[in-house]
Amino acid sequence: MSARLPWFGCFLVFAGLCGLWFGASIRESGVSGGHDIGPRAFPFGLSILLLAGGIIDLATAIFPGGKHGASNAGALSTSQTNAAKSSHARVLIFLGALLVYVFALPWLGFNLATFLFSMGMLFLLRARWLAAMGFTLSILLLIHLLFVLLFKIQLPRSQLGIPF
Amino acid sequence: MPFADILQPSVIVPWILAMAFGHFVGATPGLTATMGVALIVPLTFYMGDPVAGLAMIIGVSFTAIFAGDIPATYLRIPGTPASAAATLDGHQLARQGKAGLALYLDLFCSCLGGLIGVALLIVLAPQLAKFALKFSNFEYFWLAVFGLSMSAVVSVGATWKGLLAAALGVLLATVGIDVVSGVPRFTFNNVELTSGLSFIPAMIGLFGLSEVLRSLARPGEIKQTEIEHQEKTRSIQTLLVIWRHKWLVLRSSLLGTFIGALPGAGADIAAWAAYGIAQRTSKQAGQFGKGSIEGVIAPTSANNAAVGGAWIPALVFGIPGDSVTAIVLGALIMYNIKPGPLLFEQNAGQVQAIFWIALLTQLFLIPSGYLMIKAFAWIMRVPRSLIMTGVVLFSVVGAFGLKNSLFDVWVMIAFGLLGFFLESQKVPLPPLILGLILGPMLEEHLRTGLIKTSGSFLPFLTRPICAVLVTLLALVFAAPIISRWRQWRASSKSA
Repeated sequence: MSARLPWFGCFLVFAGLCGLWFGASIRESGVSGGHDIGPRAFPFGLSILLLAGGIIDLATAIFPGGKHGASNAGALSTSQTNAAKSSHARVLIFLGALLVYVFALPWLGFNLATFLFSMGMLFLLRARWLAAMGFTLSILLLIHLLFVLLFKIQLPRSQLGIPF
Repeated sequence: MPFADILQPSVIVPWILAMAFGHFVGATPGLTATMGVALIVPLTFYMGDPVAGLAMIIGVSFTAIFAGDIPATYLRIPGTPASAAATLDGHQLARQGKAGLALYLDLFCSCLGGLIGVALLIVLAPQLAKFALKFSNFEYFWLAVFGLSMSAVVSVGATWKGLLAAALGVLLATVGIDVVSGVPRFTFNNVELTSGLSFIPAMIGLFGLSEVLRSLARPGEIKQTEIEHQEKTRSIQTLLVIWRHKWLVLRSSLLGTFIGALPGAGADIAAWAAYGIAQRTSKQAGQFGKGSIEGVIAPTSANNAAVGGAWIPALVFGIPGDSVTAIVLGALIMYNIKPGPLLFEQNAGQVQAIFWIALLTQLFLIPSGYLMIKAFAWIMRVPRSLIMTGVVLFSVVGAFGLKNSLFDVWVMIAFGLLGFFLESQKVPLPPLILGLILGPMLEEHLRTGLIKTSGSFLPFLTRPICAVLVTLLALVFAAPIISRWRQWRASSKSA
């Protein structure tokens, strides 16, 4: 039986170490004559708790034998492995596109950036191009009516001077 | 607040639109009631009238829970997690040509369960508020600890993962200016972080964006299978069936309200608990899972009752009963309505409005639910790709629109990734959310209490209400251990 992947444990150890590292820069306040446990107490205490939990989780994952050491699943078939890889690729492509979209918002402006992102996402999800175009234009119109006209929210405008 | 103020067009129109949105969200597998509320909250801030905003939020939450029963019946796919228990017998009834009976049972039982939950909210909350006026820092500290622990214990998944998720939530809540000493923590000289992590974008990320990521990670599409040859069912026939099972409706609704009031538990746990108890106490237990009417009545009454129950600790103590009320609390604070025992004195008008709106929503549920049942076939034709794209765009705009800040969009994305990762590791999210909400309360009351007592922890243990809360806390952790020890003893005796 193989050990399970200890991602959660790694995450907890990382979070705990970050909490301790950055928490060290929190200055003590000296308020209330020493009766206050101070602004560092909770960050430090919680970081240590997360670190301890992460180490225990890593240990049970690396040394399986207890019930926490069980493997994730039996071996997958080739088609299941390919499907899983394709899904992971989809998630990563989507995340990359989302990050580019948010970075591009102040440069391209909301309308153009959203149009490009929406068409890209629908292309990734294999929607038909006519449906994608119709949906994208409809949702841009809906957002404009709802947020800009009704709620008077200023959506990001292009710093490059792009008019739409 | 006068009843007539609630029936103004400025309240009614957004209320009805929100209910329609709630039906759509609930009936679409993969979209949850919590996501629906998270997406609609940013819109409510621009209503101008907090009553309209509250009507929208309440409208979405109750209708989404009911609407989740529709695909559960037709497709064997629950629209929301709270409808999973109704799938078992609802779909079997549909296969027997009785989808109409199952859906009308869902509709009327949801309405009745919701009415009972809201009635208990109206009766119990003000009484609990009077009792809660006796609470001081010491009691609130233990209440926060109790709320966090409860959510970790009752959430699906290992308790230790829930506790660590709660600890992570409390740690994230320390970002910003420390309330007691005024010292900045984890702000990295960023002005946006001095007020802490924005709660609503975090919720949109955790429930909106993370669900999109989960959908992308799931290969394949949801296939629709038609169920044909359905008998026509009349409403009066359904009402007679419900009358024959009236005690089951009442029992399930009371159970649902109680479970809904437990922090971290929600409509899905209430539905399963009611289903399990109905099966154990039924004279026709063998029919459960094969199209039992009791198997439809119990969970659908309980899940809507739980929605009302979750508001009880939220309004009285500021402790959310479920993820939806967690978001609602964030919204209430942005409306300058501070939950707690003084809410019933200082914001009596708005509390009355909440009660009226919750009651009327149950009644509006009948005609809107009826239309939704008819419209369901159309909704299932909308491609999932369009729905997911719409969710992402509204998440981005919703997060941005709160403070016209792209930083909130980044917070939304970060929490979306966090939610996606944690759920992939089978870590429950409710304790994380409760940690975000209760963390500041926990820390502030502990530190203020210690300052008052010159550093002594003794009053935290010796005050009468504190002693009761500590005992309850010990029972919460001891109960599973005692239960396992009894099982071990029974199995070693029989061996």
